[in-house]
Amino acid sequence: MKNKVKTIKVGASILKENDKISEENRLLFEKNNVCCINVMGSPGSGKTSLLEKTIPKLKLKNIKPGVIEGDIEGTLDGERLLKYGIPVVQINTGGACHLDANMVKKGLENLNLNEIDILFIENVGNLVCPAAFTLGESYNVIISSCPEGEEKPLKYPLMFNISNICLLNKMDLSEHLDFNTKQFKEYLFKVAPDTKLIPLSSKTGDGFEEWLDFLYLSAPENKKERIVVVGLGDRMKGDDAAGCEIAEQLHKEDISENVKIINAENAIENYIGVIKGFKPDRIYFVDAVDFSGTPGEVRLMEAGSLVSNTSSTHTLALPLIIENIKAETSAKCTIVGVQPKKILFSQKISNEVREGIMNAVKMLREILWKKR
Amino acid sequence: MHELVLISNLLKILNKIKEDDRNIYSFLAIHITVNPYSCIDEENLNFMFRSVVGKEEIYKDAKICVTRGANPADREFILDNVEVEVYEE
Repeated sequence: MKNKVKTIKVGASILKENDKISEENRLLFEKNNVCCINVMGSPGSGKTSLLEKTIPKLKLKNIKPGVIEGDIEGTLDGERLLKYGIPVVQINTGGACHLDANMVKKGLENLNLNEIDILFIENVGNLVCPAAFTLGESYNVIISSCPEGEEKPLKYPLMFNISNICLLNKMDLSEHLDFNTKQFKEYLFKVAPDTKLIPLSSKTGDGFEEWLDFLYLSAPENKKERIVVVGLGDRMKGDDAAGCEIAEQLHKEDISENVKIINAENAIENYIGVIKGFKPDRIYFVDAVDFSGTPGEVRLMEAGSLVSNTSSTHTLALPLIIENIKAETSAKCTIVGVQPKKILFSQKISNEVREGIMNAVKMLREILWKKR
Repeated sequence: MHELVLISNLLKILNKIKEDDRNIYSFLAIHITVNPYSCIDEENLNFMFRSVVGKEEIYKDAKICVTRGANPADREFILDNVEVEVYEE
């Protein structure tokens, strides 16, 4: 017996469990028409004060807010927000420096999402760890503040890069602190060119109009998301036809002008122009995907979670297709994968996958009708 | 702190690899890719790894090697591959 060194290719997401639960949370928000905003920032940046100022304004517009309050210990922030007569769930992480998707999932068990339009998740005060964990949110918001200094985007680039909006708080103090807003803006643009900067002050209310406008537009009743569903597969290869079947069944239903169903089969390249022209906010790719599940199992996966060794059944790998379309449209991409039993030429679709197709149609129908 | 979460999740995957291939007797290199802006530091991650695995024989020569990916929008932590020593007939 002798020893040998070998390399094993893995290609697995280390946080796949968190990503999976995050996707479940996101789906739950979609089903209940809730816009979820993950509010992050360092301790003392003014996250709770911002919410205290924001919540009454939303209520005046008949937008129903709710809060999941994340802290290492205590209920002080949660109690502050409860005074505004809104649903608040306090999560104590017991030492952990961030919220993860599972903590949020448990928090959601104590909230009635039917009573909420915008759910704020106030994350644990920290500029590092929360950036690594998706929670199922629609938007990430980072609150930075003048007393923290101009250089924060350069020191914590991931946090600023993943955020859709950067609120620069405590602007009322800027002149007393010789804070250089232009410098902050330059640093932010360097690491996060797509992040929108809104300078404001929770104390004086200055700059709140732009922040509130963003929230008004994000409220589900005002936001009609444009969705494309793309069926992929090969009708000649048994279970590989799952994506085509699902797209065809949905196509029969006149859902909404904001929803487009495309059965691309195995020629997605012919539909890039149509997809791009529709300007979608979200694209669901429906396909037979071997994720080592039980035959017929349906799984929703974020586009990034599909690694290159996950088998799709087409000559052009699914992750590559999605990467290209994502770059062309900036849409959020989700894969609806149906686990095939067997993919053989001239075979019929297996009974297990037939059932999977019915489940996937039902699931997508629920999502699309909510969004119409 | 989130290094601990990463290590505990990483070990779940490594233990599964170990279960699937009984000939592995030692992990040597564990290659992972992180976001280019991630605050993950290779030395810290290895320190946390050593603290968690203790004196477990199969991991005694293991080292985590961190590569920074190219795309700042990609938040995934990917275990790319592992180099292992195996018994061979």
